[in-house]
Amino acid sequence: MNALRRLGPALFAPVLAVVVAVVISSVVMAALQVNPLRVFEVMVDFGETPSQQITALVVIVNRAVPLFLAGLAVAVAFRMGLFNIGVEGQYRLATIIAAAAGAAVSLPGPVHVVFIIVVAMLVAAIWAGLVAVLKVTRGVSEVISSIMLNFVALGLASYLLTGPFRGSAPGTNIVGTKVIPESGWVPGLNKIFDVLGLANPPRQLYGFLIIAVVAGVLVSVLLNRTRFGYDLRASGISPSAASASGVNARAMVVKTMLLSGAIAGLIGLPDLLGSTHAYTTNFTAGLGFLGIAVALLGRNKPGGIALAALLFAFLDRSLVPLQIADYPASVVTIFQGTIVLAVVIANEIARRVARRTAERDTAEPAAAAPAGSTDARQEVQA
Amino acid sequence: MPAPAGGVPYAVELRGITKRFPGVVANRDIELRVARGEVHAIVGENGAGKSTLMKTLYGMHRPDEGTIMLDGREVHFRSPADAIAAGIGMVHQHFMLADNFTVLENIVLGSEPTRGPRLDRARARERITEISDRYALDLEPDVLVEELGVGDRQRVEIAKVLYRGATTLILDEPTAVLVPQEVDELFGNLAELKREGLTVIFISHKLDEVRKVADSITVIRRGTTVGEADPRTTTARQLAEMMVGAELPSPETRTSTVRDTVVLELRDVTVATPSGRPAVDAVDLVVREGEVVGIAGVEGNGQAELVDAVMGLRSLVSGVVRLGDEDITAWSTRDRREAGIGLIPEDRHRQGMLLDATLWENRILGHQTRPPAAKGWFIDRKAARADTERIMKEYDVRAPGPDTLAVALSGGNQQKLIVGREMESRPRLLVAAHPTRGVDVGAQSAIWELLKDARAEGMGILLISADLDELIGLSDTLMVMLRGRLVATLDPGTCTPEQLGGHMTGAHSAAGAA
Amino acid sequence: MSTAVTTPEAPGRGPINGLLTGGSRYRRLLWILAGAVVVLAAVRVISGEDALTSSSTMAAALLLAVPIGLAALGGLFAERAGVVNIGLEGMMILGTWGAGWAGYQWGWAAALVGGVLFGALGGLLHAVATVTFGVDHVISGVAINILAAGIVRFLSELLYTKNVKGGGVTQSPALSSKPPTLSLPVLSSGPDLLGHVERLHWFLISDVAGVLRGVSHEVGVLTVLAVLLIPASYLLLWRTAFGLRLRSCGENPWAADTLGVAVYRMKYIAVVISGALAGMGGVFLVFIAGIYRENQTNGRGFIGLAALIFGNWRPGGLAAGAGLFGFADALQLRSRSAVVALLLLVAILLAVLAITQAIKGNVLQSVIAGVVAVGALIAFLTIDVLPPGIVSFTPHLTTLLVLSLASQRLRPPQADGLVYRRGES
Repeated sequence: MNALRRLGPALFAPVLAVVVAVVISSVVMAALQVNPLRVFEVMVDFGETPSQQITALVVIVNRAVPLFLAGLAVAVAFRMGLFNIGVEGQYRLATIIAAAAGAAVSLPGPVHVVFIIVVAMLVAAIWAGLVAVLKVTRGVSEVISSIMLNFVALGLASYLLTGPFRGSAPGTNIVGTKVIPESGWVPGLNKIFDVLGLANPPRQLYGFLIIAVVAGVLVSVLLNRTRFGYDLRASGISPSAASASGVNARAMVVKTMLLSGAIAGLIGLPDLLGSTHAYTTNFTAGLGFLGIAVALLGRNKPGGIALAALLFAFLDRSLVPLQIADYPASVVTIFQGTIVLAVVIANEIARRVARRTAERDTAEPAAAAPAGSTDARQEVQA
Repeated sequence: MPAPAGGVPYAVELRGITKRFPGVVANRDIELRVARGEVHAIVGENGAGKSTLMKTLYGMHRPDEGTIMLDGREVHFRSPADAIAAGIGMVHQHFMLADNFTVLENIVLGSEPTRGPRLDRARARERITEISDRYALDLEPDVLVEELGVGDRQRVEIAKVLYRGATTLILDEPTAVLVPQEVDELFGNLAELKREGLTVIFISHKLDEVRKVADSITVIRRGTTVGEADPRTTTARQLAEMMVGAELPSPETRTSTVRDTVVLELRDVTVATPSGRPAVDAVDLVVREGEVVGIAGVEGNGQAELVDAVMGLRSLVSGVVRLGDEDITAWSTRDRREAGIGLIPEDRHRQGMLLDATLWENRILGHQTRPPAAKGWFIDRKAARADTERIMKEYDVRAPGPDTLAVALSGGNQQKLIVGREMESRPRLLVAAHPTRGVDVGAQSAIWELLKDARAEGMGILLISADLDELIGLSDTLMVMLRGRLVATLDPGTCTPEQLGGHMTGAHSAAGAA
Repeated sequence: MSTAVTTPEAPGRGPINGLLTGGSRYRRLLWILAGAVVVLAAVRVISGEDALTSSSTMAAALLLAVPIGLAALGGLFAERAGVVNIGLEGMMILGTWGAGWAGYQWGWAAALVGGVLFGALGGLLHAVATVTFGVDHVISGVAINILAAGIVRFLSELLYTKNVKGGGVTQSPALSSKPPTLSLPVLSSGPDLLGHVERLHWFLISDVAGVLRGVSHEVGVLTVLAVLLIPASYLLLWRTAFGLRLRSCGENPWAADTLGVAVYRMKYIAVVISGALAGMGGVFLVFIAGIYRENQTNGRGFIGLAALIFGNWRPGGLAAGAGLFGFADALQLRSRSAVVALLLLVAILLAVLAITQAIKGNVLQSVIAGVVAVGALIAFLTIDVLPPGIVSFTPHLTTLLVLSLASQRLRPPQADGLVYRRGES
């Protein structure tokens, strides 16, 4: 019960945001003569047979894994007060290079996978590091430089895909890198369903889920339990106080961006290593910006980000059923967008409420002090 | 004085003003009567409620109870614009000036003279020059405020209210950043204003100044009016007792505890600013074990940069910093802290605390690489919390517990926590910048005692302060900083505030500039 | 007895040094502009890429500079009032959609109104989030960008897929009319003297002719009006009482509040104007293409923000920045081989930078600049044509390079980006 009481204020903002988003989207839909209740019905309909339902769950979780990683990458930077908006470019560039590298070598099973992961993390970290270096040496705002580098990265990826890294035959519609040999594949987790006695769905549950969970735990421990994490969070709360306490501000910016980039490098890997095994022209895009939304909704904490990722994945999954039922599928994008704006406003309100309650809780016992004591305890707005 | 002489109504009369904020009653049943054409002082300690009262009078917020009467008529202000229209002008303690604007732009903002849609700068310039001449304010309309010194900025603030036709001026702690000679200049300006028939309300906690310039005094304590006083018949001591309600604390000198070992040595230290001018100019300084070296000076003469240089937050253009035997000039801030330098920063909210974090996280700030905070690479939460509880008890930090957010504490309690955490690490050298600024009387004397005890145990203290009593009372050696140089070394036992002020402004003769 | 600080006297200068670097800011800017034209002309002659200074490129540059410049102007209004507006891109997107939707039904005038209105709504949203609720400005801007993309996709899907021909999820039907154009009488049309001089391909003279003709031949009336918005903004912000109050909100809102300025209201107005201007930028993109297309903005809202920073938050400066980035944009669209010639330009500029840094004694920066300059030169000599993927980010890379190399003497409004709450200090 005590845990719930402590969690309460933390849940308040995201829940409020989702509720507001639902209301606003419903109003918009109704105004455009779309029945919101029917839309929600279609979204929640997972199918009749157990196999269909499990499949839907698998699709959702598979979609949530990269979203979670994206949110994690953005959140690590946010905690330090940095905006890593370049996650989109970082992961796309990292994925294509890792795909090409993975297809170019042949190593024994797990080593091959580790190699691909390391390449992806390195590339993305370096790309993010560029942003940090520009900020620290030339004072360029990381917001603008990372957005510009996004475009550069996408351009580079497009060039690499149609040029040096092209693996598919000329003349095909969908271009891709060479396919990664099987030693570089991450197997699915469908054995779990057999163990639990549930229906075995036709889709494979990404094995990368485990790596993502491990990453989330590691990040959580790093931020909350280590000295480095303390320095990082202090820099985010008050850069001047952190500097006065001995944190080297510039080094912190670089280290944080490298870390954030490294995590971003993982974003494309669940899809790459679990299903497509090559980087193609229609590889999943937009995860970088959705990652920002997920991080905001999850209030920059790994637990919250996981829940937010599941929510967004659930919304994404409902695109196909909506199209089949002949509803405008982009109502989902409205929903996602409204959530983002609602959550930032709700977060701000929640923070203010928390401050106000903290001040009130501290002032009250002091006000009960006996009259006539000479020291004025309250810091009056004098 | 319930009724004014001659039947002329009071220029300003406040009856029963009460103002509450969440968790605290700032003003309770305040009574104030100011006659037209007089200089009226409102005195009270830090935190007594004076500024809140003036904000009410200036329309920045509305009182929960009570009435405001101007020249016998009741008024209700919804915003400063209403107060300005009624002829009330406020000169704030913390100047409200836009650095990137010129003097002219700052003065006319909100009341701009226009010719059609265009801003009529010529007319503005004319009017400002007229006011400047009439009241001897010496203003240059087209200078950027950024380039002005403190005294000039205050005169711009005064011009702002005069430009709007203020007939009643409120000055909030106007002498807080001035030295004695500049204070006399200001009082000269006030006499000029009085001669022109204006009314001045003057907030201060400096009793000697108040007695010099005020015609009548109202004393406020803990949010309510304690009484009125006539400066001609009331002594400073009686005023002080009305203000505090008890004996005044004061730092006393004790027997010398200065030892021989040098803790801190600065040799030829120079720190530059982006414009190239040195903020700290070839400073030589020595602090020994058991010694308090006090640095006096008007704010902005390099004290902040000196602290940054000692802490490693700024790089030196030249010079050497030694801690004991070691040359630490190239050391990082973290290394210096670990070697035993503690810091009580000038601005605790900016450099000393993480407001949105818990108290235990604040306790380990600055010491996060050593026990009890650290265990290898990790933070030892349990030990940190336990230690925070201990510090809270020992240093009388009043808060519900170590998990309280720092923002919830009063300034005095925040400062006590900071002092406690710095003392606990047993530094060899403590840099204390304005250690009792914005802190109530009780916490102030507690902090002074802590500093004296630490000094007796052999800690070296570099004390930077604007509180002359604090400097004179605590220092073993007293230096004055002016434009980045240490221009004088005085004996705190024998020097006077006037002497000190003279060195602080660069007037070397005892008579001072006139 | 003022205690004003006196700055030390500048060291003595020789006559040529004084001529080049002394004097007012305008004189120095004129020199830089002249130098730029000369260097550009030289590069054209060396590389043989006439597209660099041709009037068609210059016309395209002007055309593309306008949306960037309008976005930058939008950023100016918001930031001068203290609100950082990262959401310019989103407001521009809304503007493009509004222009497309109104334009195909009712013509170009309606497109203008529609785009501005949609952009202003985006601005209103940003104002509500940042001014009323106190959300961090960058976060709110990013959220609006995400939301805007979703909204236009949704509206397109709803309105264009079923019953309208030419429209789809990612584009609108074509505009039903285009705005009028005009040309300078003798110089740019009829006898077309400037065109004649341009075709002679003489060093510097033809280049100048190309530049002049580009901005005076069949220029849209609205383009001219948009350019006039820049001096108009200067007059509004620096010469009126309204402008003084708006700027005070970005310098010291607490001071402004004590003097009776309605700070919240000013910020709202500024941010809504900001959105309207960004929306107008979107309108111009639609005019160029004749149609609304998804992702038309391609980051130009952000490039506009960069132009604002490059211009040191002044209208004249941001116009120069917009012109520069517009030029890079135009070059990339018109001629991929000409972009290679840009590499030579970069090599020359970096070489100059390396020399100046070496004189100042910054060895590391000088070496880095020198190495990159050599690299750019080699690239220029060895590459014929850049592949489309690489060329696509020419304007973005230009933006990045310019921001990185520009001197750090930037002066944003003092309270820019600060979350202002009345009563809290």
